Amino acid sequence: MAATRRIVFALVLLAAFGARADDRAGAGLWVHTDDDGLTVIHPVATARVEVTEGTHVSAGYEADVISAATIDVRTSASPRGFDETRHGVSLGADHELARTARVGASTGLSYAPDHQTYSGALRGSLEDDARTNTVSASLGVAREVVGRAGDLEPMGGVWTVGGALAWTTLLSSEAVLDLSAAVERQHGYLESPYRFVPIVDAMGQLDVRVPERVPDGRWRGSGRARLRMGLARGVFAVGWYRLHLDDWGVAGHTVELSAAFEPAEGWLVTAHGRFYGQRGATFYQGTYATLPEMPVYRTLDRELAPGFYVAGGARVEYEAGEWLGMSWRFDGRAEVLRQRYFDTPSLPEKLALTAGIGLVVQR
Amino acid sequence: MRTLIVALLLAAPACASVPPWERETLAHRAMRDDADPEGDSVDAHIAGAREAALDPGASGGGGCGCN
Repeated sequence: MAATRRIVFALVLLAAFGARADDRAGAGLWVHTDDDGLTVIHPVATARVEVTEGTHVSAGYEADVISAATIDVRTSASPRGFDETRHGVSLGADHELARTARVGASTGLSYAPDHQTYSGALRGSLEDDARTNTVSASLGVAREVVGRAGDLEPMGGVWTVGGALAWTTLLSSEAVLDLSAAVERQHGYLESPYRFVPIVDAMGQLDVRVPERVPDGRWRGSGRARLRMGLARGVFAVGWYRLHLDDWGVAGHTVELSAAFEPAEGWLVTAHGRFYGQRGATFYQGTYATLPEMPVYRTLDRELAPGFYVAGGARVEYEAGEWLGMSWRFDGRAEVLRQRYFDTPSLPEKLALTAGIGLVVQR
Repeated sequence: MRTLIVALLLAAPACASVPPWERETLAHRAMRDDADPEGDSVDAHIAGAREAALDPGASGGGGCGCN
């Protein structure tokens, strides 16, 4: 109910501020649930307004209302699971330096009882005079404070510094190619303070449970190629591939294809499918043993295990037209995901459903 | 990185200068990168929770002359 009030408040703010063309506000409510006992309700609201000629400010709010009784939680933290809410706010501004050049800055804060993140980013983009090519770059830094709910002192912190480059080019009047790459350095306490790893003895019997431990630093990099195409009047397709590599040995491949069409005036229906597969971290093992010696690095984080998932879903949008001097757009979407983990002793498969509704108003 | 550079070099000659009156398809919301920031944010949030992969984020977003 509190989330609904915040969304309504954001829309009222937009109605009050929306005095210039291009102002927009959006709100949505997503629900994610899976057969591992996790349910997340995710309200989100954003607004972007032009405050002076060529200068926009934006603000956003999101929350994760989490009810978790996952296998990780049941084995490591609480036998009954837990309820927790994370709040996130963001502020940003961007300015058009010239017709084809734009710079911007943003900052964000995410708060949960056991995890806080403070972040900031700078970005800029430049188009050529023919508006055929756009190059953009961004730099960001974030500080996370990690702890356990109820503890007075945090367990540690993480610094993350990263940058990204992107190039968008028109291939024709119906096709756009995007190429982007990012690199990131994380340093600090990268473990989960809730996760304890069982270590077995030579007979395969549980010997001891020890806190998870992973390296203090991590380099991550990724590159993505994406093609957006208009196939016929009112029919569109988007496809992309992404390669991820990091110095923990994880290699991930993602492919997503989507197709959209307009069945009637104002309607847009989009269907998508996504595949993700990854090689696990070099130090990841399904079972850790005390022999020949206690492993320096040990984790049960399934995100570091080899595995893959397939997901598919659909989205329906409806442009309702003008009302109160603004255009209104509604959408609803749903996605089903099947994830398979290899070399994980518990919960090798997961089935998840995500569904959401959204509203965008724009002048 | 080498693959990315090769891809850039291969794609560069394919760039097309498209006059504004031929950008109707490019300006459609199904083609725009900034049409659904709330949905994009949620997608990235969910993917970040189930993948170890780093997302290079949104592209330049321009090119269509409609920003």
